[in-house]
Amino acid sequence: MFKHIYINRLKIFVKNKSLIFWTMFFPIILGTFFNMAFSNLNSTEKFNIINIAVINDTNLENNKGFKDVIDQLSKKSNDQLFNTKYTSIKDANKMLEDNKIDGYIYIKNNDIRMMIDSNGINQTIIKSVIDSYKQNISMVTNIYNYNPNVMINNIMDDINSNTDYFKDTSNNYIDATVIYFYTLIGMTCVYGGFWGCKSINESEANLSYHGARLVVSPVHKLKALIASLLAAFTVQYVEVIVLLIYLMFVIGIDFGNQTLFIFILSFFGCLAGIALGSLIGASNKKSENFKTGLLSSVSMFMSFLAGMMYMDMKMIIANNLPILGYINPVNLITDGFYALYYYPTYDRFIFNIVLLSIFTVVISLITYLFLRRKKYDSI
Amino acid sequence: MNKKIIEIKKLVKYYGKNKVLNSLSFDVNEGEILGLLGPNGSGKSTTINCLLSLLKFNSGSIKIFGEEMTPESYEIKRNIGVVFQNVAVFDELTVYENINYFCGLYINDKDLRKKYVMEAIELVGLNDFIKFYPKQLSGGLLRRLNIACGVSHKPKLIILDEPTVAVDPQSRNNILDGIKKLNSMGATIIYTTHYMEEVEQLCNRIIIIDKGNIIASGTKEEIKESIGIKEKVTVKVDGLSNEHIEKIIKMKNVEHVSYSDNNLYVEFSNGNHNLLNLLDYLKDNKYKCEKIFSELPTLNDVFLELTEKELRDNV
Amino acid sequence: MIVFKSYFKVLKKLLPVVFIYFGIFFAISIAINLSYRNTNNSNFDFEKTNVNIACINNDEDTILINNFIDYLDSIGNLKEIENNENEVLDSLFFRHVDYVIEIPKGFTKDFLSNKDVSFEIKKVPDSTSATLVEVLLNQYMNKASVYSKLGISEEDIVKYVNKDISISTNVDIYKDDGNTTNYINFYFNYLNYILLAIVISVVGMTLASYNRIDLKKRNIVSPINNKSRNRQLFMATFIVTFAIWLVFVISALILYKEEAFTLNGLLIVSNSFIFMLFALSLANFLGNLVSNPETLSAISNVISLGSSFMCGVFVPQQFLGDFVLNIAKILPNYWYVKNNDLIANISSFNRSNLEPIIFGMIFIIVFTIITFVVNGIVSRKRAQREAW
Repeated sequence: MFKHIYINRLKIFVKNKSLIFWTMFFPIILGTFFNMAFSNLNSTEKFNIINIAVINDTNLENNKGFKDVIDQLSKKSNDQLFNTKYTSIKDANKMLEDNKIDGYIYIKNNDIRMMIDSNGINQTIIKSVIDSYKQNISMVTNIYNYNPNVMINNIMDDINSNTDYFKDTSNNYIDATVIYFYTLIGMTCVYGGFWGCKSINESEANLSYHGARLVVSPVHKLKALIASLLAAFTVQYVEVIVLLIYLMFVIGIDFGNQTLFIFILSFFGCLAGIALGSLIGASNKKSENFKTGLLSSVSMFMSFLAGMMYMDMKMIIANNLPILGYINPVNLITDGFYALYYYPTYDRFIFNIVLLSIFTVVISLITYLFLRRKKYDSI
Repeated sequence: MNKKIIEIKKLVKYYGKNKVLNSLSFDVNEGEILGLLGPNGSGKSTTINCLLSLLKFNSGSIKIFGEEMTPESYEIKRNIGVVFQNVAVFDELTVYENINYFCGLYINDKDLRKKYVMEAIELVGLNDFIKFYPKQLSGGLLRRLNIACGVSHKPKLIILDEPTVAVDPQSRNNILDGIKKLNSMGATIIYTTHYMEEVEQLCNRIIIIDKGNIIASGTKEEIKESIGIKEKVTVKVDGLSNEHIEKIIKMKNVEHVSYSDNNLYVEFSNGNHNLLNLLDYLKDNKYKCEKIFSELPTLNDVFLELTEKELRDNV
Repeated sequence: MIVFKSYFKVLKKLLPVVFIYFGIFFAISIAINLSYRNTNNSNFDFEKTNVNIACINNDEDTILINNFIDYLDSIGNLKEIENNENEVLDSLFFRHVDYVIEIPKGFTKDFLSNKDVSFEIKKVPDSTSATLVEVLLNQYMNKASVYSKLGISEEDIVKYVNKDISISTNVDIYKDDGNTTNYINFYFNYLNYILLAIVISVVGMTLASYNRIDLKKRNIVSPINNKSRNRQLFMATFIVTFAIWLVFVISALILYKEEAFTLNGLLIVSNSFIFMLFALSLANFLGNLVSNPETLSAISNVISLGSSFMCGVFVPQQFLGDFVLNIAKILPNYWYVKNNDLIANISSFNRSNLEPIIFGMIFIIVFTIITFVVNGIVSRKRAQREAW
């Protein structure tokens, strides 16, 4: 009997084109969009050449050292930093107004200054170049004052050298965009709720005639429901695995060598999602359209809180309202994946799994309270 | 012979403050086709749902196959087949798969199930549509599938809740024939409807429900007996004078007389030769009679008489 | 006006669903903007980054180390954390700190004897400001190294380095009229997502149920001619879309009082009005084309999320790859977002600044008109379909 229901529910689920779209193809499409949007973020090599102007007047001529530095940085090469125009102050102002340049450099009272219209990364880079030039001059002056006999040319290499004093020991350094993909997997797990909701709808006599048919048959309601939910879980779990395979092998996301743990986390994630959908299905008598609308909005909102549309959201919640993070299954799944790579131990990973399990159990109990009645007040 | 399959005693059900079943009591005998007749909202479906332990009821008792019916009465449920008034099949499964699924809730044995499913398909005449999906079926065929899903496991008791709503004549005949066949194979049948013709054609016994009360029950002849009017006669007579109308009213067995547009309309209570007496009287008074109709009462008349409303409120 | 009125009756039935969408999207938009406010207070402050730095010193409190830590405090926010592995990882995990520097034992001694030394750091991934901090600290150490190699004493090294790093370029701000907007364009960029999702769902769903085959048949045979029917339906959907847009604009005016009532604010609102027209025409088109509500909601999600990722809503346009941008350029969403970003940065309203914005607006309008025309052709074709 159990097997009969399980197999038939599987058939019913798999042939439901629109839900299959939602629970499998939609996340895959979204993942593809993520990949398109982030493909450039990972290759940060590509630096834009910054357009600047330098005011060409007698002050500049008197400061040949600085002009040499700028010329060097503006030379056409792979390391070109600036695209520099030497011009009059009037033209420079005009270019600044028209957003043709990010800023211009001018010398006044022997002080190198810059003029900008708005602030951004490019402006910071321009400034750091000037700073560095001025600081080097200061160093030379200091050294000369300390000991006029030091041959400046001999230490010029030292002054210009840029030794890296930092050794990055971050554990399993992962680039931040991967978190978007984690939230995507989390969302897909929670989308299992669609199947859970459908299972409940089609097993309860007061929700559908399919349910009434089941209830008048000699099958224990709970047993039938569990068979149906198990089928729901099977479908969703397989779909999540398909998504994982797509992310790993087609898009090329590196999930490390923790395959077993990824599967374990997805397992608990799907359970939580199906529980959530069951609750939405069992808690009200509204139309199926209403329920799927509610479920897709709720899961979208959970994904948002977990950082799918704005990554810092996850951290803002973790720091200001942690409880909201602990009861959000999408966040727990995202967090679990993150913890898996980030921490050398499994403590936090297990913590997330425990929270997910608590979520699932509590939600299932509430759902059970709704379903407990065997007869209905009205149909 | 008269073994009781269902015994309902003093069933009371409220929806909020609304009393929808008012101490309803009736029995269903083995082998009969019982028609449960009543207008929309009379309490037919509520009765069925209480019977099946789907609905809570406030008081009363229900016994099926001699045992108290509860939500856990799986042995009782195993022998019941239900066809609800709304089509409840899975769009994702074919005709065969649908019947197989619902049959599988009752029958574990695969080979037996296969046989039963094919027989059910045969019964409702869906042989040509085995591989079709519900969306590809017309309304009538869908209804037939709905019925097949409910009866494939060969239950002893079949409950059909308005199975022919909005069904084309061909499918309706097919459905009614199927029900007769099921009955002839030994199933007891409860059939709710508001189609009078179906009840006349199908049922051995009829219970008429209105506002949660049984207002009549018995065979169709018994029910017709129970009301006063036995014969209705319409005669086209030109220029009948009031004086003669008065005289007709006073004739034997006449219950009611009206005359308009040259049509004389007379209702008789009991007795024979009523029409002949009337025609003789008219003939004696030199009236020329054209177009004579005489009809025996239908259930619709019974219903009108009892409830003062049309059975089928034209929805 | 019978069609017009009946539209709102259909809408009324969908109200619960509409409210769910509305409530959730509204919460999203407010949350995003509040969070932007909390994190983005960068204006013209070059000296101090927003980075939270923690420093674990395993060396002694030498002059060099103390000065170095003082410098840390001046370029970021110095935070105290406990010196144990888990604590460090947790702080980074929750972003209490962005950058943890561990100074090894005997660092000062080794450094002053010109040995190769390095700090051990842990940082949150992909933080631009953390990278900037690293650059600054490296400069500090490199300078100290130059002096150290000359045999200068620890005290003097610190003195000289402090002098060097205190040198900073004066930055002048051209016509600082304070008009540049910092947050409002984020809000309106997100409107791309929210407006599309709501309008396609709501307008599309109502139109779809309107076009459900039985109803449409009845409509077509009714004495109201097709043109008048379509006009009334369009009016109804316009009012609904306009109302949705208005709610978001009014909330923007409330959330960003200071920024909204400027010329930039006005331009951004006009830009979103034009975009609202596009959303309307797209929703009309989809509502006429697709009658299954589930398909419609799938399309609405794919379009709203997809265009937001590709056109610079969730990831700013400057970070997107050329390949994606080139595809995005054929979509009005790209121009809408680009316009918002451009408008936010305008400080003088001259021709060459306004021209690209007007180009973007014209692009959106042309796209809107094309959608309308295609919609007209499709719906005429469908009205005369031979078989239902």
